[in-house]
Amino acid sequence: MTLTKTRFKIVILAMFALSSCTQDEHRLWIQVQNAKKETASSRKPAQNRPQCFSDRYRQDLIAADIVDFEKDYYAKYKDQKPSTFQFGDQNFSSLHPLTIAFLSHKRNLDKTYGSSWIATSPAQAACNGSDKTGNCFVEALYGGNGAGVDEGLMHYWFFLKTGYVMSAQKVYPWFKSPIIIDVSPKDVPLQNYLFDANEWRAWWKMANLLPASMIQMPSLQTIHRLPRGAPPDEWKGTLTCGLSTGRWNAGFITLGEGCLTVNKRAPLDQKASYFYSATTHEFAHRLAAWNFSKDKNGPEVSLAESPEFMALSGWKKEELVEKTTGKISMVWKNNENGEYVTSYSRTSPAEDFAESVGYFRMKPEWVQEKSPLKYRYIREKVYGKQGYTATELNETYTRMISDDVIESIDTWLTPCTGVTPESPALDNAAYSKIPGTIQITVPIDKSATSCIQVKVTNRIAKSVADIRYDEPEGCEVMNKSEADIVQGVAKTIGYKLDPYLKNDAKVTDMMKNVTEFRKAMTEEFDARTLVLACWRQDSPQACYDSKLETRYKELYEKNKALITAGTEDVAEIEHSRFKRNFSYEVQMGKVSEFYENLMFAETAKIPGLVDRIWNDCKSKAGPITATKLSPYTPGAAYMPPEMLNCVNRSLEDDQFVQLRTSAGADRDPAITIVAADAREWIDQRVLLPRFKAALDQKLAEASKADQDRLAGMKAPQADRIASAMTKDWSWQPDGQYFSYVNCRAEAGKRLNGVFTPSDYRFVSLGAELDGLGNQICEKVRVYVNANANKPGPGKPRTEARAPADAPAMVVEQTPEALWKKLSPALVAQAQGRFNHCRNKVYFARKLRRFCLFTEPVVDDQDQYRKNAWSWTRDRGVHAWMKDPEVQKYYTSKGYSESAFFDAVQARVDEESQEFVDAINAAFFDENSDQ
Amino acid sequence: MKNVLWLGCVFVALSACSPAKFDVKHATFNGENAFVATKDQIINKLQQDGVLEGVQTSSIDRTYEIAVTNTSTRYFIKDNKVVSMIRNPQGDETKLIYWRYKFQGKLYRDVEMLSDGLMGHRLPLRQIACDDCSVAEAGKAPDSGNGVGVIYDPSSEQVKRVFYYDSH
Repeated sequence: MTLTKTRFKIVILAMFALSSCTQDEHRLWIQVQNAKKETASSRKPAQNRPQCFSDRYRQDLIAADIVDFEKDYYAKYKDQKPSTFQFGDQNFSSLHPLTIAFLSHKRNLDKTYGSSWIATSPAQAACNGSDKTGNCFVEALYGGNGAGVDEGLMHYWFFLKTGYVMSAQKVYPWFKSPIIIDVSPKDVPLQNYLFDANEWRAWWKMANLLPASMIQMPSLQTIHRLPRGAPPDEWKGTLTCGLSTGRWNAGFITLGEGCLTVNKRAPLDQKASYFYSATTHEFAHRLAAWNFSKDKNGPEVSLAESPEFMALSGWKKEELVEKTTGKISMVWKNNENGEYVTSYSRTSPAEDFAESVGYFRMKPEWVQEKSPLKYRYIREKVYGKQGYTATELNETYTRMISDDVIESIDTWLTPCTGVTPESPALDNAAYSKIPGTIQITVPIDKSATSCIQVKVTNRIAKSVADIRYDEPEGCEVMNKSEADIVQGVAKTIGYKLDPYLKNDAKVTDMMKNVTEFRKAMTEEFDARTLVLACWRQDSPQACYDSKLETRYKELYEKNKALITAGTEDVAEIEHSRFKRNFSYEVQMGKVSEFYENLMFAETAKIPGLVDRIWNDCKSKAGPITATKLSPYTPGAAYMPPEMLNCVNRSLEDDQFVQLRTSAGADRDPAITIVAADAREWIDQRVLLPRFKAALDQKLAEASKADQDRLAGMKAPQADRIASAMTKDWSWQPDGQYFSYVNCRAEAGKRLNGVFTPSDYRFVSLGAELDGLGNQICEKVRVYVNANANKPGPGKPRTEARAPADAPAMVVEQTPEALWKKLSPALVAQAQGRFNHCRNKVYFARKLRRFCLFTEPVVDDQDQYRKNAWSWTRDRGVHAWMKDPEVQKYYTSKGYSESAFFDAVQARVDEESQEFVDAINAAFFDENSDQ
Repeated sequence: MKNVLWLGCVFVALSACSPAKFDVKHATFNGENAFVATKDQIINKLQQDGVLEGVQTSSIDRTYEIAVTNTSTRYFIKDNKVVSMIRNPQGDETKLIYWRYKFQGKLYRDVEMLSDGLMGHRLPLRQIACDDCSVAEAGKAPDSGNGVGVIYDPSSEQVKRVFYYDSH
């Protein structure tokens, strides 16, 4: 079959149509994509990723969210100097900018609600939100010292996610009229004012259900919980359980227990708990309180009292102004036969609106059944045109998956066009939900068809998995309707694919050529040059557009041979596509934004640049010792100089951006832009963190790989030593140190579950235990000296080696002959080491038994210089002699601490067995010669 | 011709004094300060202006009748006489501070409105009312004064309605 011009035109028009859908058509998908981009860095690798959205309520994922949120806040507050923050009578230096932002926010709240709005102390305030080693003040609220880590994390997470601060003290604000409760705050513990773990789970889900219109509303600042068991008088006997009030540009929500009812068996099911609709109801009041102001400066009409909404139920206000007194009475009149979501909706338009919003996402079918008109109004005005009934979600997910597959069409269709029967085996489809195969009506080569079907199938599977993970209702809907949704997708895809797959070699060739044409046009074009040339002009936009057109023509002439197989339609479409892709708003003050978009969009240059530079430079730069750059504290951590030099060399061909180290003292970033003309218009506070983050990721990957490798080497050695060592405790009779050690070890077991090789790394005892170390050394010395010429300690070995039913074998005495043979060597060795031990040794925390081993250290001329001392306990090397001279030689040889450990471990492996065997033979081996 | 001119002058003079033109007075800050219209007069006037939507009996107090316009202005009629009215604020009237300034130094009430049916779920609307503010403002005789007030949302300090009443 040949390609006629008409048919070809259809193909191209279909392609164009796909790539030029209106914003409305793709509105939801764009939102989803943006959300995915925002959360991409917090996602766990696929194998650790929970399957369903609800399973994401996990401490590690919450913490990962916080890291991402902090980055966003960092961008927002990047102009603030993260130097010091005055809190009470103390200064805190080098606080995280976000912490400052939070504290600043708190300070504003203090002005409104009193100085104790958040119960904290200055000592607790110095906490980096993502650093759980500190005792964050939000954590301290819930018990501190790790006891309230989940609630504390959520408190912080909720603030970052929504912009609203949760109640954290015994006082709640009031506006114009206070809520009166029966109890005095002094009689109620603070815990009763705080949300509990179950409620926090619900808040987590709630924050994810809120539409964008209800996030960071200026009309809402804080959310408060009335103390448990103390409902306000005026709420008793009514259905009221929440208050939503305050000024239009500030406000708060106060919630009683009724509004916080969470189904304990299904706390994350928004349909099973009143919590969700009740809190959304209150949020809706705050939405109605500010969204009516077009310029955020003055009210016009609220969503709740807009003529459009009022008309849905015939809401009319009846008033009476009494003669003489001027007293006003007012009642709302409505259409008795109108549509209302609940009976409470009949109270007033405000409550009608709040009830409709409150149930919109929680019980969408109900709202739609009760009032289709209000459902439509809320969907349009509040939820960004997105509906949540089962039917709507099915349609939405079908569209999302279809769009995902179609938008990625270039990435998998082009490779398939070259597939022939002789090609290597295709990928296997790993998804069985597709009913049959993707229907492709156009007869094309079977191999290509099969390739396309497999790739589409796998892409659909990935998209389904993403929806289960990303969408709050994803799993519920997919569990019920996955087959139907996928079938809908398959039909859509098949329909969309047909235009692509005319069984004509020219089509596939053209496809490939067009792809290459686009690639060439993109690679050879650098919009920065145009911006730089135009941004100072009187009409920068016109200048840019003009130059863009000129540049397109130049590039087209150069590359047009690639698409000569097509027609004028191809050129026209590619022209439109090019202009669309590279159209930017160019004006003073927008340059940084433009540059950021240009550099960091998915197709932009920086990610690829980093990959290329990293790969080029890693092999040249030698060992990488830094594990992380610090984007938040410029100057605090550095790129290895060798690497940086290499990066600089690699960037020399870039006409705008070069990177270099800086003098740390002036607090400039470790990497900066040096090209003068680039510095003038590139906001390096935007560029550099992004660039450094990309490098950080590379460093972290390299570091982790190194750690994994070392762990893999060490684990078997540690196990061998653990099984080989004896348990001779006799030299340490009082067990003082061991009690401490065992306590810590047991605590470690409880904390971490199991010990891993990394638990046994050397740890200095620190100043508080140095004295104890000396005591231990002294005990060793006394013991060794006291027993130098005596028979062995004769410690009964109670560890039975005999079968369990055999009588316990107790060795009462060690053969003196053997002890005499061994003891001089032991004593000499121990005495010789004692002084060093006393002065230099740092003990491991988990030391239970130690044996001494040495590693001869030689200098560059292979001359023996010193011994490096190592101690072991029953499961590996735990202590080492941190002799400065030894350290110096090791460093000069380029060994890291890990390398030192490996060397010692290997030495231990060889020597310890022999040593232990000798001890066993001398003291305990009843089968040895007498 | 002179007769015609004379008759014209008489007509103009009568028109200027026509109840339909100025008997439907209400207290304003521009000098008009008395409710003198009857039910028929107000209805005729609103009909002439083409703004009358209807006349109904108040469900709050059935001794009142209400003439309602298409701009939500309401004239309250008791014993066949207009005794109060309420309308939407315009311009600066939407700001509470405007009224507080107007009432500055005068005796006025700031009270919660009787009911708007919100059941304590959010803050009820409030009203401020001054029995003689319009008189003082207009410099009229005290015994001819009328009351003026506004309904406002305490959350936003947005004035929802402006009302006038016969305070004597």
